[in-house]
Amino acid sequence: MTGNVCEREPLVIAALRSGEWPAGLEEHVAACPACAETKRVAQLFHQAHVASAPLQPQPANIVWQKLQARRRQLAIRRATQCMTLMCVLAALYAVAFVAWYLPDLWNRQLASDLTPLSSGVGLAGVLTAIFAVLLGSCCFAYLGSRTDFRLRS
Amino acid sequence: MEAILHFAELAGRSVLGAAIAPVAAGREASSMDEQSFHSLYAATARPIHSYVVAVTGSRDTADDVLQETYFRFLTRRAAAMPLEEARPYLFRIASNLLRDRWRSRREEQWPENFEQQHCADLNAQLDIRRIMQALKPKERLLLWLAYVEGMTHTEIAAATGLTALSVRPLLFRARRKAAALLQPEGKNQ
Repeated sequence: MTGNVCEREPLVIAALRSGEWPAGLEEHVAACPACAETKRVAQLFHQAHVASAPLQPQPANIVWQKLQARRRQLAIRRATQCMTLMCVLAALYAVAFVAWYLPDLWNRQLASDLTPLSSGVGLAGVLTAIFAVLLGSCCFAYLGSRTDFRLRS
Repeated sequence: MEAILHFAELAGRSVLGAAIAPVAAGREASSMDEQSFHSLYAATARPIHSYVVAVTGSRDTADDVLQETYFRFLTRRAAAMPLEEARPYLFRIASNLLRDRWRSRREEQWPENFEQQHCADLNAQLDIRRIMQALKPKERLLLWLAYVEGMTHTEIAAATGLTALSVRPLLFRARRKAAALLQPEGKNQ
């Protein structure tokens, strides 16, 4: 034994936990400052343990149900991440398409270049395609926001 | 427009369902069934709950931490872990969660209003409250694991993330501090 630590401290702790004191250990504790200190502090913590005994954790079936609900939410959130990514990509595509093609189309019309796309039918086709892309992006964004709302609620 | 959105929603649901199914199936395969969970919970929940109550002084916090502990256990580890390995691992998760709470919210102080109605000795009840309030969370944690759970220094190191070498002096200082706080009553006895 040193002044601060005693090799028999684990025995003191084990005796306090089990309530069974090996022969000679109590005499040792009475003579050993380190073990006496350990005993006093450990006793206090045991009293705290006894005092908190009636505070039972929640029943296992309730915790299990909550964990299952959280796991499902996590799975849904992970699955919808790819949909969110698709929404962003669709929106980026629509913006890039509009920014790239409309000025070009405008210039061609100004130059009276009679290419198939600058004709009435071609222009209508392009505008329809732009409308379809924008509509698709809006649908994805709407679905994404509704899914997020359901998850949060 | 409504019809289009309805169609899109239906399509989205089927896409969502198809995407979730493999994720959920994979998780179910790597996780434990309800019966195994009940067995694990019965063997480990009570000591972990007591530990968190003692360290935080709050039953609500203990319930939250306990639930989060099992959630992380189920999502990170397979069900095949034996109980003797699961128990320290659960303590480790709970300790990490407590540390995260202290870092983010500074919930270090043991509450004044903690109820210990079932402590028969009034002096002991006052001692517990006084000392728990005076000790730092890490000190409460170390002393609880050592004296109530009966963990060795190596086990405490595994449960707290400290090194085994640092547990010994930290535990000694915590014990000294608690004993010094107990000293006046000790002399009176």
